[in-house]
Amino acid sequence: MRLLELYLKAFGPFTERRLDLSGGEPGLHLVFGPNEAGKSSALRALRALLYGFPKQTGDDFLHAYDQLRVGGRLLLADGSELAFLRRKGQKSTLLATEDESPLDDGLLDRCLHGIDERLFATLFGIDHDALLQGGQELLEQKGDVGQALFAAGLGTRNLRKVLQSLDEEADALFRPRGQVKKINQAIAEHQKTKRELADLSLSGREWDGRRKELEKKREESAGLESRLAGLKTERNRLARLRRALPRLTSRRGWLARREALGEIVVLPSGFPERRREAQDALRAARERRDRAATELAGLRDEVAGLDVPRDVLDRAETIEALHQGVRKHEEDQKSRNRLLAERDELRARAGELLEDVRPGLTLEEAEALRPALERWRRIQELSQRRQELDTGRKQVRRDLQQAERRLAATQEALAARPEPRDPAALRRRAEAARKAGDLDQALAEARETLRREEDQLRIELARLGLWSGSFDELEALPVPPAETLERFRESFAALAERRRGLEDQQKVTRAEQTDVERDLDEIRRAGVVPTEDELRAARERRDREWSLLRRAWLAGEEVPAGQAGVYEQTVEEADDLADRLRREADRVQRQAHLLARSDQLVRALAALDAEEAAIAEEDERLRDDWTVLWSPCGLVPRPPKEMQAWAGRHEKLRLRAEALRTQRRQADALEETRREHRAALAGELEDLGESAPSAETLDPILTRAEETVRALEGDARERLRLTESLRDAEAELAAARDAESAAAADLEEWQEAWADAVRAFDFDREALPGEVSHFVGTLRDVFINLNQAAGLDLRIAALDRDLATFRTSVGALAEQLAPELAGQPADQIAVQLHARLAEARQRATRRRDLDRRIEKLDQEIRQAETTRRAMEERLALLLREAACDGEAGLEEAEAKSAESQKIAMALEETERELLLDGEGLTLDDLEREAAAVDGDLLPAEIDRLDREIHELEKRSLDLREELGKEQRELDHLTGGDAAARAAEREQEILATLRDDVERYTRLRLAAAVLRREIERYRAENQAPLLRRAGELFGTLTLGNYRSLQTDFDREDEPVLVGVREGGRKVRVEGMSDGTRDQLYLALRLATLERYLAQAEPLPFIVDDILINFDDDRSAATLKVLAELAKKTQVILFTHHGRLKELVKELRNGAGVFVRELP
Amino acid sequence: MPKFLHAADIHLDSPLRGLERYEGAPAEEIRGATRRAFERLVDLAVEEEVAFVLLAGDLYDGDWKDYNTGLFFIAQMNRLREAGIPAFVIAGNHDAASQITRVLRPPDNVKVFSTKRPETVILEDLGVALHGQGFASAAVSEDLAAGYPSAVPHLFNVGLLHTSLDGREGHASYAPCSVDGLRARGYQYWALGHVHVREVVSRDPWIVFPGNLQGRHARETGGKGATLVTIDGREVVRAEHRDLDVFRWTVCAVSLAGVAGSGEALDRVQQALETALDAAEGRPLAARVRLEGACPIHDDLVGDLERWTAEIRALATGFGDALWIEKVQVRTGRAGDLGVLERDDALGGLLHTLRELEADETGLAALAESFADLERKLPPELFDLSEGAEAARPTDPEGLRARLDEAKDLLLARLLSTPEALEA
Repeated sequence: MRLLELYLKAFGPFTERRLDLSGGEPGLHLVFGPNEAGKSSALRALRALLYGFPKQTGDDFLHAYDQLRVGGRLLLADGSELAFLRRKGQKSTLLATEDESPLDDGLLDRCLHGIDERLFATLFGIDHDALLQGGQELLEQKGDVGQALFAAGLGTRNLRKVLQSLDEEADALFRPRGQVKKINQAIAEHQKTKRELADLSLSGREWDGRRKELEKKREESAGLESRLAGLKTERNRLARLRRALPRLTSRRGWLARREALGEIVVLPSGFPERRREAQDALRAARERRDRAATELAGLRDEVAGLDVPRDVLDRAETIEALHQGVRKHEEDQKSRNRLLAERDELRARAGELLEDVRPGLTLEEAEALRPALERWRRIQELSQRRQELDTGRKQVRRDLQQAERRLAATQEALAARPEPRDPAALRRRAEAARKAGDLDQALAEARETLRREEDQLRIELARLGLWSGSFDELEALPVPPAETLERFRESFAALAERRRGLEDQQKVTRAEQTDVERDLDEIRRAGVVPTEDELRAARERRDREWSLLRRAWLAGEEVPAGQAGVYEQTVEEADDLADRLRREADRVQRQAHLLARSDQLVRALAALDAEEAAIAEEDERLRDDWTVLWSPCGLVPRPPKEMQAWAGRHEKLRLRAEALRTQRRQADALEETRREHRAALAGELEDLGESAPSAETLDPILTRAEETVRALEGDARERLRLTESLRDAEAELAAARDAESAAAADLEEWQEAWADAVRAFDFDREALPGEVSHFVGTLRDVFINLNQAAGLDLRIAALDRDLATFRTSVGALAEQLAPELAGQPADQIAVQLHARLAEARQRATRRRDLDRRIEKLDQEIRQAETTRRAMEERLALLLREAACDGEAGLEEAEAKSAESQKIAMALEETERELLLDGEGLTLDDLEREAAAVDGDLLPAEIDRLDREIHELEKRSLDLREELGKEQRELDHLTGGDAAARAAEREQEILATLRDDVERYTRLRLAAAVLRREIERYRAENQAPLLRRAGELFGTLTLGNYRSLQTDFDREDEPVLVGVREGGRKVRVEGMSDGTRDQLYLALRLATLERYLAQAEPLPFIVDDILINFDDDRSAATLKVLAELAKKTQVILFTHHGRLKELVKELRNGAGVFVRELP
Repeated sequence: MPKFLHAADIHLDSPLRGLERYEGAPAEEIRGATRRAFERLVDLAVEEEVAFVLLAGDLYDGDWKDYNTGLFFIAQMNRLREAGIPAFVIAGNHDAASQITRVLRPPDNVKVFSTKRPETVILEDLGVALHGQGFASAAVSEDLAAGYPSAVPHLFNVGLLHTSLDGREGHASYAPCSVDGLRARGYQYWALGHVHVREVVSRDPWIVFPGNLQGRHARETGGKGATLVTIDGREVVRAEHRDLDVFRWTVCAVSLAGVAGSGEALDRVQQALETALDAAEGRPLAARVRLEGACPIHDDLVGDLERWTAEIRALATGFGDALWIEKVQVRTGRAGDLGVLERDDALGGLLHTLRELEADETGLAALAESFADLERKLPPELFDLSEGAEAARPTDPEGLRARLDEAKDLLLARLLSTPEALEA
């Protein structure tokens, strides 16, 4: 099968696009499309054509889903062609190309030979990715020949992965010595579950035995319990007695002591405490009173011996103030001495300074100069001014020299410039030419457009048909106006309509006529049909005969012989006819009707024939008019509809011819404008003494003119700049000269002022500013020192006044308070007085303290007396209560009362305990029971009972535990389903195992079969395939390799090697990526060739595999594909423009076709 | 009118077979299914106030040793006792082999017929005579019915017998007898056991296999239960089957012919499962999904059966804890014809080799030998030929021959599953 045409009716970006693939036998078809040209869409369309649209498609962006159509024409093996369209959908997607009527969906089956979509892609498709992966695969299987051949033979690129995945999946399930593999684990788990099941199962015999054992133990336990109860009762009784015996004895003792005590006064509780309290308080009150009295006497003595000096305390403030003045007094004396020394120092310094600048002059004489010091600032100002004047004069002289130099330089430069020329006129011309635009370019384009349009128009004029001539003639052609043409078309159409109507009518009429004739014929064939006319004629005949007979009968006329028979016959005839008419009335009527209709139809046909003639005549006339209409154009017209179209085309061409004429006029105008501009520019250049270039075009001369204008304008600007510069230099020189004379005048004025200023200090005008300044400065220092000395004298006098005041105050106070101190220095006196004041203050404080304590002690003595009296009264009351004479009897009474109370309580306690322990027995009962036992033997007996009870209890407990345990175990054994659950688990594991074993077997089997087949395929196909693949590989690698061979690797497995010229063998891993791709391609192509040798060919679809091949190898690949294309159609999709060139070189091989998209 | 219940082949605590555990499987729903079905039998007896219950053999699996099963049986019989209902039991081939039977002391409302000779029990107040004899050993090959006494006149005579009758497919031949032989006794009702498929063999007299009580593997499909019989004097008024199973088995055949893709295939499976679940009347269900028909996803199915099984199981979990996908069997075909591919190219060669191998005894044996390692390790229970087992020994060449077809599908699926070469 091969594809003759791919028809992209509505698909992806395409609408009504046809891709012709019919060339060649069957041919290599290059479908070339740059990126975005829809190459991929075309590929998908091809796929959709053969196998239907995929459910989801992105190719509906232009055409809606239900509008998508891809068509094609196939050439089948038997030489027949098959054309069809494919629409998107589930069923009935094949449609007839002409009318889209649905075709049988199985239509394609016989051309695809059972190759389904995926197999087609695998065997008959190769793309760039497949090539890369195939090459990579070759490398990864390290050239294993079997796998390489098989993979190429299958067109698959994942053979190694398939093998690997089969092995890996099987390995994950089971390995003979594995632990973690799924099956191994399940086996282990199954064993574990089986053990569990065995453990959980309970055998019937075991259960029965256990149940009986349990029963026996239960009885034993009950016996033990009842014996224990008896023992415990006896033990309780003895224990009670043992507890009661000592208490009974004790009770008897207490009763005896109560007897011995006799009658006593029972004192209330708390009596002894109250008694002791009263006695203690009395004793304490007495002691307190005595202690206070002693202390009071001592204090009174101390008060008597304490003297407080009142006069000192009275003058305390004065003494404090003087004491504070002592420190100031001392400081004042020190300040006075220091000031005296400073003052003398200042005076001596003034004298020295004066001696320095003007020897012989005393300080008193110098005082005469003090007023002159006012001029001090003036001297300083003038000195300053003199310095400024000197600096100014130096600057003025420098400026003057510079101005003179600049003037001279500028004058020289100006003299050197050339004569000026005016470029204004030239500039105006150049601007005008520039404003007109790029005339050269415009003119060239206009001429080119003109030429192309003329060529195009000439071609189309030739294609117009019916008429030929020049463009001018075309424009002048008197084509009738459109309205006229339309009128004619309508007339023709109306006529044709009338004719069609007529023909229809004729046809109908004739058909009916035929029907009528047939019906009539039928009626006639069924026997002659009697008509009314015939009956009338028969009756006439009968009547005639009857009149003959009547006349013979009535008038006796002669009757010819046999006449009677004739009459009868006629009667019979008439009757017969009448009968038939009556009997066959329907037929009769129908015949009559048909006959009438037949007549009508004959008439109608005649009328229609006449009409036909009239139409023919009219048609003739119309055609003549039509021809006449067109005669001025000198052409024989076609039918109006065609001529309308022709006129339309003519009109378009006429308009374009007209446009062409206008364009030509415009081009000529442009040419003239350019010429004028050139002439004007040449004239101006000449006027300026410049030469003009002699080119045809405008541009060179315009450029020259613009350059000249720029040069001249630059010249003028430079001259203007120099003139301005000269003016500036002259002005500068004048200014410098003015400044020089002003400086001289300033110096004169300064000298006058200086002479006046220094006179007061006895200097003349020639004295230097430095000298005068020094003298006046020193004099200023002398006066400053003297002024400071005078200030110090004032401060000394003030200090002397303060010292005298202090001494006077101290003396007065000492006279009043301490005459013995008189004669001591004032500051010492003040200190001693202050000490005496402190002493006096201490004594006064001590006196106040003593007075407060004496008062307190008096109060305490009074309180102690009150307490003593109260306690004595309370003791008297207590004596009365205890019926005692004196305090000594009180304690004995208390002791007896306490003893009596103790005995009563002990008795009560003992009896209460006895009753409690007696568990319902009375005291008397107890006494009786106690009398019945020997107390000494009791403990031993109880011990014995205890031991026995303990032993029995232990046994009972053990027994009960055992019982409980066994009962629990047995309870668990009553119908639980733990074992059943384990069995269920076991089945689950077995089920899993079953599936996994199946899967494992399947995987292993598949891998084994595949390996076997790879080996078989290799053995069988290796030689021819390798030979052919080797040839192809040689071609593809441009002779780099000579052939392919098998070699053996270290494991002695056959591997694929390429053989270089010279016999060197290269393993697959030693080849470059590209070479490996080519090796894969060679193997694929060799396999495909083998396939084609014995099976129906299908187109081989190659998608851009040449991306990474250089030109030479691409050419080689194309050559190989072209070779293959002799056996089956090869369609190569590519976006490589370069391939087109390569194909051209290959063209001599023929059978190669290039189609371009879009 | 008095009624009685006739059941057989209880197989208490016999585990459900062939259910591979997987995430989301309703594992709790299948727990103790045989026990729960038996409880429902007792419920039904009490509810219908039947006069007595007949158990025609095979209470337990023969090799089952756990006495707890016997205790459970006693507990259920006690429930009947409380309701005043007697039970009549004969031992079947399994019971004869069982250790439990020998120790079991049933309560006094349960009568176990002798295994040495036929016994007759007469229920005066009902006017019923019961005849029966149990299996003394696991394999009884003589016609026990021949030794049964003739009918007691004027009473409704019932014969209890564990038998394969004149042979039933899939069941070992035990106590063989013929319908005519049974008829000759003159009884009104023959309560048979042993055959797991419900069957009313005859209506005059009534000869009935009630089938087993609970399906236990994929071949015991459909409703399972007991027969409830109403009598009037010596006439059977009505004999109706009551489904008592708590878990049901089914085979869900799904045609994938003409599906467009995997989504549609799963939709069809879902529909089929819904229908099957409806038929199970609210019981949890174990379904074997069998995919059939020629379809474009055939290669995908065989190439990655594990994934498909997982997907269908995931689908099943959508029905709640009601559906266990026991197995997914792929019986689909390739949409195109493979015959035309048998040419002398790589693919054709592969197919050719596979076909040759099918007939190549030595080649198959050699392949089978490579699985010896595996077989040695596998537990023998896996190949237990008793009911429900389906696994073939991996070293068995016959089994391998059957596997070859699967291997072929697998290879084609994987080898051809390249990315589309035409897709640019």
